[in-house]
Amino acid sequence: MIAPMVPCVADKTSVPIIAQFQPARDKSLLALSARPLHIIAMERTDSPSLDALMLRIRDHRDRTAFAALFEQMAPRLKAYLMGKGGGAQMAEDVLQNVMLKIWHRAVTFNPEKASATTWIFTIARNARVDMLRKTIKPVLDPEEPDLQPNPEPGAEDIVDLAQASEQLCHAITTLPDEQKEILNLAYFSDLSHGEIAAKTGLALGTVKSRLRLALGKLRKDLR
Amino acid sequence: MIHPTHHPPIDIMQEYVAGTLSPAFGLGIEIHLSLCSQCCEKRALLEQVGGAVLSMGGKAPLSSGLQQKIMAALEDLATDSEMAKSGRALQTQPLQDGDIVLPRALSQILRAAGVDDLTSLKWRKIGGYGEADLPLPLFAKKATEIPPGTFEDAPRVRLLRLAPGAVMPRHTHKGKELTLVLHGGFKDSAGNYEVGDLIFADSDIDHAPEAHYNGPCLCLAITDGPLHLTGPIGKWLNPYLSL
Ligand SMILES: [Zn+2]
Repeated sequence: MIAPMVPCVADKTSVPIIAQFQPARDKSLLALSARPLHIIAMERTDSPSLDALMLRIRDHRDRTAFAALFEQMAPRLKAYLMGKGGGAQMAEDVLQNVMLKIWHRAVTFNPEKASATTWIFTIARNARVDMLRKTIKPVLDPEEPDLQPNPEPGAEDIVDLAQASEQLCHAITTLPDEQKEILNLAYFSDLSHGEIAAKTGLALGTVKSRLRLALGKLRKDLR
Repeated sequence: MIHPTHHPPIDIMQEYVAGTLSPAFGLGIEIHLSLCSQCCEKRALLEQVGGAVLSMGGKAPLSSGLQQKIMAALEDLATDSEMAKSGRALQTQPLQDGDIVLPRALSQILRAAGVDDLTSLKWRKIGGYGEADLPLPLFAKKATEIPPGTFEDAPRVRLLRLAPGAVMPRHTHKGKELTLVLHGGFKDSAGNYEVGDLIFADSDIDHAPEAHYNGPCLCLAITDGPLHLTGPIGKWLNPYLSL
């Protein structure tokens, strides 16, 4: 059950991926293997750049660009939305919502603030949280400028975030498998760290330390 | 400008960013974020990691016709920029009580819940210590998060108020506790805390916070399990505070 592997960056070297939970290797992961495997695949399409597509959508309301973005991201977003516990139908309902938000909120896309993948992630995450929360949630709009602290001097360093995202993807592929697994579960499933520990049979401290190690390797600022 | 020195741990931030942190604790994180540019940067980095994980994630096959359906729906909603802006909240007047001014983020949530005056809350006072539950819509935990036998331990969101120099009854936590300093400051055996500081405590901490002497201290406290008073006065405070 080796899933096809698409490397994150241009070179076509195959990389080990998180995806292959091998029940034989770790009995505790048996429960997880019941989940559809696509939820925990780690592959990536390479082109065209999502940032370029988003700019065409933002600046030119370019439907062709939107269709290309749809093809690249919609199946991944559906897998992500299903990973958070809803069924396929619910995931598609929310997916529709997410895709329309991407189109209609494109004016707020700012590649200097967040790369396209980051921006789309936050939209999908919020949609998924809304989908799962049965209760009324706090009403803070994360983009409300009034609620943002003033940035520290020097915090505005111009970084090429699209490039940073590429490097990040590459860095993820180089993590040890056990860290990749936890990273993937921590973002892609709807499990808290405690629930990940319960599902995998790992100690909570192990889950947290693997996650911290992974994050620290990806971004030194997250150490 | 506020420069908090105590921040949420990175794993809690990750749960917040992934959307798996319980909404009650998420509220505390959100208010800290509204005061802390350092953690806003961390949030941005953690979201970047989330974007990367998403962009590398697996695919689920879509129903046929879904793309056409969505492409057709693009026409329906016209003025994009207006729609993007309409979600913006109105500027909120911060809630005030004497010298104490609540952060805008919390004021906005409380005003939305119908609280326009802090003194209208039901304060339970004992000596220099007072506390009031915030009448926020019930934050339900995910059913899967609740260990057997603890269904009564719904998260509580409270304001705690200490008079200058007052000490909070010594206590330990059965669950987790998030404390965010909103005004003034306090210290305990582990450190000194000022406005914006966030303390995330697990069940094994036994502490007795003491307010600074130069003014009252107001904190937001979010707990997901009952507190256990351990000090000598705790025994008679306990029923009174219904902790
Ligand atoms: Zn902070």
